[in-house]
Amino acid sequence: MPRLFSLGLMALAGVALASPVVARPISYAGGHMLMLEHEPDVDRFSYTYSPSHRWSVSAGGLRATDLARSGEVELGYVRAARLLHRWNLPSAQANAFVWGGVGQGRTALGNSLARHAGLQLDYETRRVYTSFISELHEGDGWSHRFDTAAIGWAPYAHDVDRVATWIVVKGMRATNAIDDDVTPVAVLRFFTTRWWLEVGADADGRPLANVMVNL
Amino acid sequence: MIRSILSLATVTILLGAAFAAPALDARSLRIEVNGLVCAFCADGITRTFKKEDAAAEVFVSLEDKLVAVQLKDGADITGATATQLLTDAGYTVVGIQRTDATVAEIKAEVGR
Repeated sequence: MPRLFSLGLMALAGVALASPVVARPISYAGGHMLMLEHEPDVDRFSYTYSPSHRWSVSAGGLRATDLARSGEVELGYVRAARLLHRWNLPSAQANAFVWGGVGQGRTALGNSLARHAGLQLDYETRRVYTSFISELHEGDGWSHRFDTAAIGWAPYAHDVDRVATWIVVKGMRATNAIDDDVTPVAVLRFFTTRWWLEVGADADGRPLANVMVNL
Repeated sequence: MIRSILSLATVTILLGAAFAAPALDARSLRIEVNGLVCAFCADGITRTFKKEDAAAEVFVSLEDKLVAVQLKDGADITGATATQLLTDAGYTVVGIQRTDATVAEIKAEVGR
């Protein structure tokens, strides 16, 4: 059944690959953002400052478990993100972001300089959300790619004076993991002008949560 | 020659009064914006305009694709400045209207 759900999700999302954050990597000009995320096999935290809507700088960490060869990866990093292009439509917005960073990585193979790069494509109306995120992490002797495809639906169109509610399904996958199948997850997402909360579970019932605050 | 100069000066003053006075008298800007889809967007726009000395109050409606900025008495934000602020915030300005309505009246008009 989980595999059937997984295949269905892949068909739904088009390309269901694997894993990072669904929130955008850049806030508004002058915005500060804190993010904490727990997924079944990955934990993340980051602080992001956006001097403009076109780029941001972040510092953060990541811990991924159940990875083949490297066993477990712990990363501390700094990164810069860039908005490549934004499409502002009358009732929708679409974005293309890229980012890259360096830091210190610790795995079963030892400590080494770690580097990463990622991209995010998203399209959003007030009722429909889709995104694809891919992030590649590399160090000496190890490499993992985390991909996430997501599609969401809002039961009502929110506005600034109302909490937004979304039902989001995602397909998540980490390459070179012990189990590198697509992990399907379903989350409820709530957000206002200042905070963002996601809670959900994967097909095996393992919980996940994501909290983000605009400071 | 003197009569021509006086006529030109009169026309200039009248045109200036016709076009400049309403801009300074307007109480609010009603700005139609593309790309407004989430509350996070609205927060960024509100914070951007609140940094402007001339802005007394800011209202964003996703439903109406609207940013309304009430001006302080005697103060102004030009259309070019408003457009630049929204462009720098990552949005596309479709049109700007000046109105005598307050933000409270604009909110009531759109049902808030």
